[in-house]
Amino acid sequence: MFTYFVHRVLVMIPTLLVISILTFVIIQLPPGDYLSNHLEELKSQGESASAMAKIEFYREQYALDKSPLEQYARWMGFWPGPDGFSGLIQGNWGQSFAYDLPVKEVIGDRLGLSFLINFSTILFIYIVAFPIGVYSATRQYSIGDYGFTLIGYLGLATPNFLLAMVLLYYANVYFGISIGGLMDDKYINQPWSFEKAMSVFDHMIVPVIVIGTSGTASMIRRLRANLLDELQKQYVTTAKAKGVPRLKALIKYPIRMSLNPFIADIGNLLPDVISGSVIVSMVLSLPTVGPLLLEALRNQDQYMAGSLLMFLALLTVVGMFISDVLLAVLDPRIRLTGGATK
Amino acid sequence: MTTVHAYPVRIILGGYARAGFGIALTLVPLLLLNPISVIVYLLVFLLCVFVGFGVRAVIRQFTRFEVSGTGIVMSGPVNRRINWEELEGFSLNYYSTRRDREAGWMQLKLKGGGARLGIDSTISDFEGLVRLSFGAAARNGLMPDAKTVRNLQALGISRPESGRSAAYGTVNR
Repeated sequence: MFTYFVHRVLVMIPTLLVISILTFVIIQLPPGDYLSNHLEELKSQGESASAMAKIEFYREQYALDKSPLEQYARWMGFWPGPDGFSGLIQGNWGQSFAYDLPVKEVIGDRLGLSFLINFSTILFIYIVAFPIGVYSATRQYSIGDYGFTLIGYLGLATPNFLLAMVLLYYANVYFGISIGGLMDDKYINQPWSFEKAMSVFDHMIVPVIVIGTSGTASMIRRLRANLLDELQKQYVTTAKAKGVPRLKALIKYPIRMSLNPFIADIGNLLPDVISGSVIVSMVLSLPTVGPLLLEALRNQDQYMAGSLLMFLALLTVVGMFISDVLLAVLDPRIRLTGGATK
Repeated sequence: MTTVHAYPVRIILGGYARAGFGIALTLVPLLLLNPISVIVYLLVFLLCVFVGFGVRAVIRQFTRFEVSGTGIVMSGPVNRRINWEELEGFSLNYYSTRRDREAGWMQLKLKGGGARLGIDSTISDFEGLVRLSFGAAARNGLMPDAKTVRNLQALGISRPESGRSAAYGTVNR
């Protein structure tokens, strides 16, 4: 297991480096940059020299007039700038040119709220999918199974943003939850308190359901199929024939075995949940990093976009790492279709 | 008759290379880049892991496993012994870092007489070692779990061999 951990970490670190390079290349791909566009705008408006001087300052500070390699190295903190090493590794996320503020200040609580929503969504998916999946497998072709299957397909087929709009309407009309946002207006920019946390909790219900629906549906299908496979195996029949109670014969091995996809899917769920939450956050006006990221990409606000993309990538890579390690602990089996070892 | 098993030089060198690469990946940013505290803690933890991996590679280089009819003896910087009749734990795990779970390695875990042994499939004649251990486990009435059975099947071992142990002079119970 120790060897596995070391091998996996050795894969993860270069992966993050490659992701950082790809992120930087992607945000550099469109022609021009935010500062050039802004400079042209200022020139056309005959703006003062001080604004232009500020732009020149940023250009020098972030090596925007240097080669892409140097820009990347300074952004990551691998290469010293005018203030020495000062990049992502040193905790400097760069400057948001659009807001004219450090990226850290613009993001504020949004990173934490994004993490909270994504984590809650995954928790929701697991809590809902597990009992339904077990029920559907143990009561195959019952009315309940057909009902959950239908709801599952609806969940898979309905676009998240559409579901968001429908749920928003009903949440407001029947439960009195204010539309949009992640907390009541009176708590915005206020310090954290119990009331504020409860307000966030109330407002999280709709987004978590919306973002988690498709994941829940696919997880139910996966768990149902796996558990059905296990339940049809000989050892279950033998256990039943020997008089092992039905519940014990279910929990002892079949459910344990069918838990594997649950663990393995953390890695697959995270990218889906994160990318799904971006659009839903736009529709529901959630103060997460989603809308900021979209805006930063549209504006070519490269440090804002790059930092947010790196954060989301880090979340995904770490999630996959945890999922892989848990799976290696739970299910260290070889696939018999594969080749031998050594 | 006693057989001796050791890790091949190629595997040991691979271990050193990984430990060195890992130490470089963590030590260089720590010393040169002045990272923030969260990253410092993470890098120090990973540095300890890679140093531990390097130490284990050194231990493996000088470790020999001597297998006889009476038991298995690990000798070198760390010395341990498990007599077959004291064997009370036997499992065979498979690990792979690839998505398709190909190109991985196995690990044999043995427990008994207050000692634990973990032996990777990269060791010489791993299959023979597994066959002998499985035979001893079966004689002691140990039931392999589902994952061990699956991994044994992948090695082409479906039932314990009683013949080999007799050749080593043990008595089948």
